[in-house]
Amino acid sequence: MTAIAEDRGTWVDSVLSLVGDTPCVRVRLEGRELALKLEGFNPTGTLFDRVAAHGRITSPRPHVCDGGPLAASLALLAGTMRIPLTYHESRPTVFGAMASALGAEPGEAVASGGFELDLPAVHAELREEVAEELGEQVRVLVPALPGLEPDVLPADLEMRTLLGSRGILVDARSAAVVRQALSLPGNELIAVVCLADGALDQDGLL
Amino acid sequence: MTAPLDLIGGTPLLAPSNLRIAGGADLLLKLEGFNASGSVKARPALNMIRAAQARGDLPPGRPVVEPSSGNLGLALAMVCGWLGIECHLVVDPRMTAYSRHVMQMYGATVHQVDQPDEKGSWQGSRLARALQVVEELGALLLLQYSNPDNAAAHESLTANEIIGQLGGRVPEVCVVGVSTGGQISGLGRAFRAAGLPTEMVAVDVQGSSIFGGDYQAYRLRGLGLSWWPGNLDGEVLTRAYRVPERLAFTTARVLARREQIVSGGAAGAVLSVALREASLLGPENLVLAIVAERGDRYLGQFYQSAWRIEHDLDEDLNEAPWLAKCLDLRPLDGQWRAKQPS
Repeated sequence: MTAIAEDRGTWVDSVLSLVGDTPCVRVRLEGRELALKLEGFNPTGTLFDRVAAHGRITSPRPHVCDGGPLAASLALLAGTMRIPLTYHESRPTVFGAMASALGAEPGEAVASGGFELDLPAVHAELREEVAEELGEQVRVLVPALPGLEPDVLPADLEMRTLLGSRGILVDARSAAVVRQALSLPGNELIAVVCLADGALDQDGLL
Repeated sequence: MTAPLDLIGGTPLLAPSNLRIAGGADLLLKLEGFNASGSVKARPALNMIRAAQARGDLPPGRPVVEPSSGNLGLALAMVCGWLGIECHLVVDPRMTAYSRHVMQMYGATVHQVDQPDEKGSWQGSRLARALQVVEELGALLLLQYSNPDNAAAHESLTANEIIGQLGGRVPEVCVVGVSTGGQISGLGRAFRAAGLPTEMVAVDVQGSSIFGGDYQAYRLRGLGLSWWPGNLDGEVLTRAYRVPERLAFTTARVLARREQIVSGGAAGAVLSVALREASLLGPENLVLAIVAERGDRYLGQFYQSAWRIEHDLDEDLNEAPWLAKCLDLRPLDGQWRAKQPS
């Protein structure tokens, strides 16, 4: 099964075919041009749909605990496979609500399990898509994936507001990486992968 | 690399694998939630702004104002952000916290009215406040319900996009929800101009009085009005249905669970009718249905069992009674045709 849509404006028979191939939008900030790869255009509104699409469900009863957006994306994957997924949240989030809407059931506060992820494949795919659209030489900054990778930058609500006023809503952690990109020396084009649609990250806690 | 304006349109068609009527027509869903801002309204928002600019009605520095608490407001705030236009949106207390927050994230100024007008209409109250903004700031009022550039967006762009995607296949039926009427009217005119015999089926919600009857409050967003909107061209409509919101919410939940498409109650109403229409046709036929928005904005509403129970709208997703209710839907009698203003 491929995780990548050949053409977003096409005719598909599974929502999984709409994961990936997200748009790169041009934006000029502080005199510098950036390309923002908007992962909010994935079906549940985050890059975690790619994570799920590149993942594998390994048990008949997978469970995700405090997974944030991963819960929604795994619910998407499990739903396409008719596999029952359970999830637990220490505090209610929009992503838990999305997982529930997709058919996941509330479960116990026990460790996540029953699935395997392949983050290197996700990173490789992102870089491949950017290279295909913008060229091999373009530097790509990818925020650490909250809950899955260390060194997550703190949220940057100010930059998120600035981008929002330009009509582009991204999550606050990706906004922090946008600021990081602006601080880099030189004038070459930099692509920043933005993890989520900012509308899903209203509290900046993605 | 994409310009922001290119984030509108090019939305996918989904052939559902698990929502089919055995022996009935094929079903295709146009997923408009993949537009930037998450709904079909991005198309008219952009077109109304572009057309106003082209006419000279929106010179640099002139603000725009619109009475909208919903998807058009979100889309307009986004488009104005892209184009550097000051945006004012007039809302009422029924708007969701989600929409208010997103409008503000886009940098729009949100004006809230606190009382309905003397007839009890929030729409009237919002319009009155919008007119004040016009007077105070010299803003341009877009008025999506009667602005012809709303329907024109669908007539010129959405329709051509669909025709191109279908690759020569012609839908016997196209099912579209009605709020402003811009989408169904634009699509219907374009299909007719292209010589397509597609029947245009309008979907309204019970409680709305667009097609007659008395207006009664309902909770579903994105369908219905208490009057016939100027953008609704009755000439292109073949028939119309009015769907109970309880069924609409249930069908939207079924769509999320079976096809992993999280949408709104309006899409649930449209899909309910599309299933009914598909059941009347054979497998060589095609029913096209428009899923107007993504459902993140309703995750705190009808997707929550507590909300459904509170509003007496909870329903079992057990297939037989749910599907039977869809197939039992019947179009309105033709008396609504007399209701269109001349």
